[in-house]
Amino acid sequence: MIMKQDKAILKALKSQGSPVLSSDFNARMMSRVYLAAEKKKKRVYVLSLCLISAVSICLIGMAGFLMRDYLVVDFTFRMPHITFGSLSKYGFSIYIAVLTGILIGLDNHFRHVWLKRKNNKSGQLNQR
Amino acid sequence: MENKDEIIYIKRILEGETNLFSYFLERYSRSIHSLIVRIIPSKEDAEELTQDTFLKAFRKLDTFKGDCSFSTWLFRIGYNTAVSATRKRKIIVPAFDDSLLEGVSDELVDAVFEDDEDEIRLQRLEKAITRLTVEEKTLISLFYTDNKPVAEIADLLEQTTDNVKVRLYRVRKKLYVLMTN
Repeated sequence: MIMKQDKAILKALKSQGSPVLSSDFNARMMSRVYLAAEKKKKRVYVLSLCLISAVSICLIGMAGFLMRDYLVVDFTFRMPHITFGSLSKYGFSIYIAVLTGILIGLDNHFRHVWLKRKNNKSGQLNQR
Repeated sequence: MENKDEIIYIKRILEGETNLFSYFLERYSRSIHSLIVRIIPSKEDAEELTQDTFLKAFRKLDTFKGDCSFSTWLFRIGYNTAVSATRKRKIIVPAFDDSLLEGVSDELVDAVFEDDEDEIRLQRLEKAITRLTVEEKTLISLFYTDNKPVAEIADLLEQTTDNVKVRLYRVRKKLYVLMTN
């Protein structure tokens, strides 16, 4: 393109002086960015809290309305009948403990796998 | 760094690694500031508007889809921020009669702007540049100083490449007329 040979325009633009930013510009900017990030987090937190509260209130209201006008519910809570022979006295507690143990174990395992994957990913990015 | 890598950085920032934003600041703060300073003459205002540009970019980072390069997206925010500021500050540009451009040939303009030795002419040219509109100043500073390709300028100003080329030719003629009159 012939316009790229317009040396006079280039020189005139350059002679207008190259602007200089103050030396602490990036540091000041980053502190403002951190503040904006905090505000963003807070806003998301407040919004989700409001949303959850609104949905919960709606659900409770709807449930109350349905129960009052349409449903007849027997609220008596019945545990499943489980027998463990001679250990029947402690059987149910052991059953719950084992179940809890398995769930905690699974949670720990999957969390470990997820963290490992995440660390590998960020390691690859840092190598680049 | 490639645009692809910049997108990865943006994803990480959105996931909470805010400190990575310093990379974009270090890479683009000077060029964004030099663009704004050509539109807004006040040094203090230009620095403030550069800050606003980066803050807007950070707040709207989740809207960046990657359909253009990050620098184009950022320059567009900077340009729009500066243009809005000129409207608020009511910066008035002298009126220009477009009919004056009709008699000027491209060959004459080429010959005049190819020579960068004549000091008086350069002074006149500098003065003429100050009388350009915001958009015209942006156009020539992106093209000549930042050395951006026409396609990228078109993307940034949301115009077609042909339109940008036509306007660049027109600005050169306008500069010539402002210099000679």
